[in-house]
Amino acid sequence: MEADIAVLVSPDFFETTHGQMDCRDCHGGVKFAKTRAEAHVGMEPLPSAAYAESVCAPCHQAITDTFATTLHAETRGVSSTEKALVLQRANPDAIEAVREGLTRNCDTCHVSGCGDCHVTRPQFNDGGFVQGHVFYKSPNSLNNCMGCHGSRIEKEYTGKGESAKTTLHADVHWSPNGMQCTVCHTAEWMHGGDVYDSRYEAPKAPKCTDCHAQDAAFTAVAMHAQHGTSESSVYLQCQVCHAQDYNNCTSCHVALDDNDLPYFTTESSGFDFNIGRNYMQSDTKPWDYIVVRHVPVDDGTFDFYGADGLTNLSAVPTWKYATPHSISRVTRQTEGGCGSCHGNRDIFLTADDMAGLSADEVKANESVIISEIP
Amino acid sequence: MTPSDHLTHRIRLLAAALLVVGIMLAASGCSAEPLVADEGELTCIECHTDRDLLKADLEADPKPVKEKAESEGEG
Repeated sequence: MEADIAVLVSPDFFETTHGQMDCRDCHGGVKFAKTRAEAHVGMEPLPSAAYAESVCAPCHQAITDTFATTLHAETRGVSSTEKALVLQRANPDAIEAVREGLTRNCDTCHVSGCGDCHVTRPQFNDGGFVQGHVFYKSPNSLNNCMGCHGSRIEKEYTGKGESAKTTLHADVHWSPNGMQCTVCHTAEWMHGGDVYDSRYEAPKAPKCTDCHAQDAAFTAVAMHAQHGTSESSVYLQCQVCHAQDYNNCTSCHVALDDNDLPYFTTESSGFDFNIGRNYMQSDTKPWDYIVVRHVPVDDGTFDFYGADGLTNLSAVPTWKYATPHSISRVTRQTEGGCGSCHGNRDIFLTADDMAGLSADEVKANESVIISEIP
Repeated sequence: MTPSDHLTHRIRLLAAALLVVGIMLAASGCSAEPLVADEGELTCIECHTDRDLLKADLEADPKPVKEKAESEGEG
């Protein structure tokens, strides 16, 4: 984005509620000045990041009170030095090295404040006004959400992925009608209030059945009756039939460069599809089979910060429960009838897929792999 | 006290209150802020709504580039 456009205020802004205020009410700075430096003395470019409690809370207190509990603000399941899921894989004797890696590398990814979703592109992605400083209630999928969620969600949802096994197209929710992320990922959820360790434990997380009721019309479809309800003899997560191939990554290593700036390398990534056993069956995830995505953890992920950081790699599967954003009515699992899946070794995660992986990683996935193709 | 005396007394009280408020504002620094711009001075709005002005200013004094390390692969 051009630097001047990034900070150019639209005349429309002054017609809005926020545009009725003095700029300095939120940003500080100097009333009259001859130079940028003079004007910006004491100026805060990101007031919602610096002091939301004084500038946003007077009108939006219900949101500012709970926002700190959201994963967008805290990323606790991903990078928290106490709650990150990867800590379950850590060597207790090297846990401080893993924590340092989480702090220096992984924790750089979170929203800076209200403005990242409601005024500018995310600061993680260099910011810049989306609508000339006009505040917008619903974040824009392309400018805001996908500014950060680019490698999996954007590629899957907008159909930018490529698979060696099939032709991919955009998620049916995105094309043709451009359903925005906020339709499912509601403000009520995004603004926090509930405390949970990962997005899959969020009580307000969306479910397919929020819109697609498992009613008589649903079970009138033979395959739904066979596999789509809790009464089915074999119950499948919706994505098992209706997800197209999705992104999988391997071997992420994090480090700092010569200037102490964080970076990562991943060995490979690619679109594929695998059905695994539901290793985390529960009342909210009752299915027998789920789709699983390979996450890029590796026993050497944190080697830069200390050797042998993740010696407990077998503690958690590396092929994990997934909710791909590549939904389609017709997929390579549905287009050929029963034979698309039954007897088709290619779409199931089996011991063959573990070839070349370490003994620890093979062990990690014992509860996921399918020993006998249905 | 006649009605006229009463009014005079109230006006004196109001004047005294205004004087106290004025002293407090002056002490807080509010009165130090100019009400009109000197020649060549601009407000936030005058600059941030003028694309040509912003462009010229940023060309003359570019914002520092945010340093980022290069990552490889997908995150």
